[in-house]
Amino acid sequence: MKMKNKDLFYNFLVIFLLFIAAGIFQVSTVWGAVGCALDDPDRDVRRFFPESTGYKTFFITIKERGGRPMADKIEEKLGDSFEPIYEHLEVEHPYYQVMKGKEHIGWVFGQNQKGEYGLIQVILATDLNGRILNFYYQRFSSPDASKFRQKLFTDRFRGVTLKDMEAYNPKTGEIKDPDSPLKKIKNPSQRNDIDFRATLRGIKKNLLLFHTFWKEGGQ
Amino acid sequence: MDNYMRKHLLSLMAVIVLILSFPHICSAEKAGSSLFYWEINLFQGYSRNDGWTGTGPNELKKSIGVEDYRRFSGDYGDWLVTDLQIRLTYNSNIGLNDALDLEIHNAYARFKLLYGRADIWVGHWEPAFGQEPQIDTYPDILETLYMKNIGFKQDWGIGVRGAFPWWDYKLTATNGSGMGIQFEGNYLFAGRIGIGDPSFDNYNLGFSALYGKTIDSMGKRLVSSDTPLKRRIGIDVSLFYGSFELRGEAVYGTEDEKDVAGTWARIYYFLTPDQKWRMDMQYQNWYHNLNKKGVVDSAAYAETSSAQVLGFSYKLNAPYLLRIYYAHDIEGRTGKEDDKVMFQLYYYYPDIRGITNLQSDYGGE
Repeated sequence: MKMKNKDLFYNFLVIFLLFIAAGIFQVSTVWGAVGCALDDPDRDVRRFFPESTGYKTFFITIKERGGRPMADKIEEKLGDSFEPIYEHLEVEHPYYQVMKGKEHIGWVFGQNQKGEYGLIQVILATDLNGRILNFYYQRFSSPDASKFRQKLFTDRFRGVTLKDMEAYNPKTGEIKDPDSPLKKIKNPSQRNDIDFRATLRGIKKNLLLFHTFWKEGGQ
Repeated sequence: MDNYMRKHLLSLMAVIVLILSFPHICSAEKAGSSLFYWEINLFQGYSRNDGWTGTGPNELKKSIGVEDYRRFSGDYGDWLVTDLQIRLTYNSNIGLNDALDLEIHNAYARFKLLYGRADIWVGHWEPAFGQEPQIDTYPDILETLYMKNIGFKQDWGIGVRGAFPWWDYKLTATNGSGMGIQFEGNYLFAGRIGIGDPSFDNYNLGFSALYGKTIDSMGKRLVSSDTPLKRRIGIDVSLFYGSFELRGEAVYGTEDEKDVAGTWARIYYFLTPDQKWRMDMQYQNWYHNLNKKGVVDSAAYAETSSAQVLGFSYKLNAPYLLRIYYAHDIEGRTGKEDDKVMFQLYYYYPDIRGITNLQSDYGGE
């Protein structure tokens, strides 16, 4: 249907009004843009905690917990700065508190991480102290994805803690501590060093945020 | 400014004020178990045959809206999920009298039963058929075969869904009327079984079926009270391979006595290392009245057609997504061809203040 000049005028007027109205009100909300949620939390949580009977979901943002000062501290510990698409302060980070009856038995949480070819979603299942029980990629856009997803590689992260990950520098790719268990984890792809480093950065960021929100009084 | 226009502008402002005050009403709820988003969708298209058009192939219109998603937990874990997504739309293709509308997308309560093995939902959600419930093309220009098969994306009713280690299922019983509730002898039953966990297997293969009588509606308005009997079976696949995301669907069935069939395939590919540019390609075919090609059919949406789309998405910053698409359509019955260019600006973010910030590194500070 052809649009008349009058309709075209109203068309642009509506666009203008929508922007003006939104600008005038400047409404602030306490919620945030969702980060790396599980595709199917029931199925995924049951897979890693077969004895579980349920879970509680929490959404947490850096903005509401501590804002820029908290982000600065996390960036310093991470050894790298946040990037604006996946890691801005309003990202709602989902945390799945795994229950067995009324007893809290573990955690599942994930992070979006920029890889060489696209998004990498790094999911961790941990015990109550944040020690990795299982690690998997929910999404991995890369020609080398199948090599990274092999259990032979992902199982090597079992038992890793934040303390272990602190030895890793995402900017240089170096592991400072010669005794770190990370030294034993080798790149599964001969070619793709970028996604290997992105994986380590994603895991370190994931554990850092978990400890900041749940272990350091952030909660 | 005439009275007519003044009336509509006042109505528009009133609804915008209502939507803008929504977060304050919701903020009494405990933070941490809820998500809230603002949504602004600005769409404009140009068709070689029809000139400027304000609505897209996916019923995209200019709109402003909100989404409120909540989880309710007890001592044993989550037991209820609710989602409400509404928007004020402006359809510039029709007269001002009908141009403004308040549309409902998601409006459901999902009760978690048997730890995700038999969740029950009640409200307005997707009938369980094909790819649409997996990807929800609500804000996208590219559409699945849903509009051809059913005539709308979401329907009022109830459903049950469950997921197991390597398969999942969905069953729905709905009104068959889309956004409005009608009682013209309409109803719709649908079901889908999916095989494969995309997170671990990198694929999901679905088998679907639907049976029912649906009405022809546009938004909440009844276009025709005819309720053709629809039967469909379909197969769909999602495949994540390397840097590609591939999705496809094939359906076959009948509409009253006429045969119908359709195919649809889509590929996404990130173009740049910063992942801001994505290339989207889609091919869609729809055949109506397979046995009697050339017979004029009154249901315009159901005519034989083919559409090829190539486009680019650009993620400007955390809130903003820009799209530009080119489409080549062929109307099978007449052979009439059309070329379209479509533009979309899409804002989806928890804080409306981001609307004025077009910086590429904007992230809520």
